[in-house]
Amino acid sequence: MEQLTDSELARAIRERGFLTISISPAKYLENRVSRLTRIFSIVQSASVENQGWDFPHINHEDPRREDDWVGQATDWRMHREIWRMAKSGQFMFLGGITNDWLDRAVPPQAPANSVFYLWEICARLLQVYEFAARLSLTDAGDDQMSIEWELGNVGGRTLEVGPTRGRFYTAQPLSSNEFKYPSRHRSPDSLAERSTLVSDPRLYSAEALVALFDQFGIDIEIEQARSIQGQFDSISSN
Amino acid sequence: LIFKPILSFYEYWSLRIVWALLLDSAELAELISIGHELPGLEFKSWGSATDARFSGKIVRAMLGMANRSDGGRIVIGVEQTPTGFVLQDPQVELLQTWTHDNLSDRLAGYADPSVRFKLEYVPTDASQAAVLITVHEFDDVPILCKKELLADPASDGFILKRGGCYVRPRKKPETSELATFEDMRAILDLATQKQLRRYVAQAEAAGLTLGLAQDALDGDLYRTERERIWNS
Repeated sequence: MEQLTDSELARAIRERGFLTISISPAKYLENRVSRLTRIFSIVQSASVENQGWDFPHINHEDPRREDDWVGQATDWRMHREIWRMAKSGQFMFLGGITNDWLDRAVPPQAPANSVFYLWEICARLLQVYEFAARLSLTDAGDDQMSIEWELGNVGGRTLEVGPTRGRFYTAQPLSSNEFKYPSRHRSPDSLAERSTLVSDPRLYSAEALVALFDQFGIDIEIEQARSIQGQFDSISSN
Repeated sequence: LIFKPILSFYEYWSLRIVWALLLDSAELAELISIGHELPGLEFKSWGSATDARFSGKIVRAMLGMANRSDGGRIVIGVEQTPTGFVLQDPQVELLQTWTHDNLSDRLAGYADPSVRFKLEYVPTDASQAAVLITVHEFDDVPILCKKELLADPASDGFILKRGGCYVRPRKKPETSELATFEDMRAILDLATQKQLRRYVAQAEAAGLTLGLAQDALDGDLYRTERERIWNS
């Protein structure tokens, strides 16, 4: 398989369903983390493994180092993702929805790009908020952290549990092609208090899951979202 | 668990059953197809839980997994070939020896403090099965080995050493005794972070404020930075 540049890979990822994530301390400090080597070690130690895949994925290649950021790109089978972290502490991620790339699996399968698998987003959200909690306790953290994510190219998809079966018959297809969480940028909704984030990151991922279910016309409560998360979770409770 | 009527009985059980029975097998096939082990993943060929030395090697791997962030998984029933890893034919009599109770008893003799784990049988297809052991990272302090286990023959040294701290080095997917300062720092950082998180959680529960609240996110500055970095 040919090796793509980062920008080619980013373009390819955005051609199908994708997820972008931005995590940052509330206050902008240009040189919050002064050394690039320190940035990579922060991301590496905060990376969260769940169900066999880590977020963000740390591969064995040397990270790309620029003046004020470090990053890695992974393009392996259906796992296509890029992450970067700036000296300001801002972490950014762009990744493909894996079931959209099943034609790159071994053996290849038909991409499932008309559905949205709950297991994938659920496992990923758990990782994202746990990662943010871990980051908040490092040099790249602050008393308040902003966590924003967005799904793209998801319009018309139905909600299913996983690849084999388990359709939510009461769910309505997504009407919008994108879904931003929280919906209003720069609003206090995107800010998480470090103390709450660290003590209960699953609260935030459960809130995000409630908002996602709402997009499919399914009304669930936080405690129900927490129970659903429990089914998809191999992360140790802290 | 009580869902509102809109989340039907079928949907609830779909969630539970599909994940428990079907996804693991697909996931296992994918993991095996990687062709090599990972820091959080170890493959073992079939052996009996009643074989002290074989189960000692499993315990050793479990101690290493428990001392890494997010723990790890051990799959029994996979053998290494010149071209990679493949599932072995099922050996029912060996598989039946792998129960949570058996492994708990074995582990309790060596691990201090105790290790949390889950043991499952993964149905790989109609005729094959493997044992999947999911090990959680330690709760408070790193796990040490409290008893030794000699290899066979004894001239090969120890499978487990008393006082040994087993780790999974980042650079090599194997279980080894703590030997480098990088691994020492990683395990100390993990323990420190856990203590810190516990302290913050207790402070939060007690209503203590740690740090001052800020007014708003510096969103424009971050957005400008984000666009510049993505475009470079």
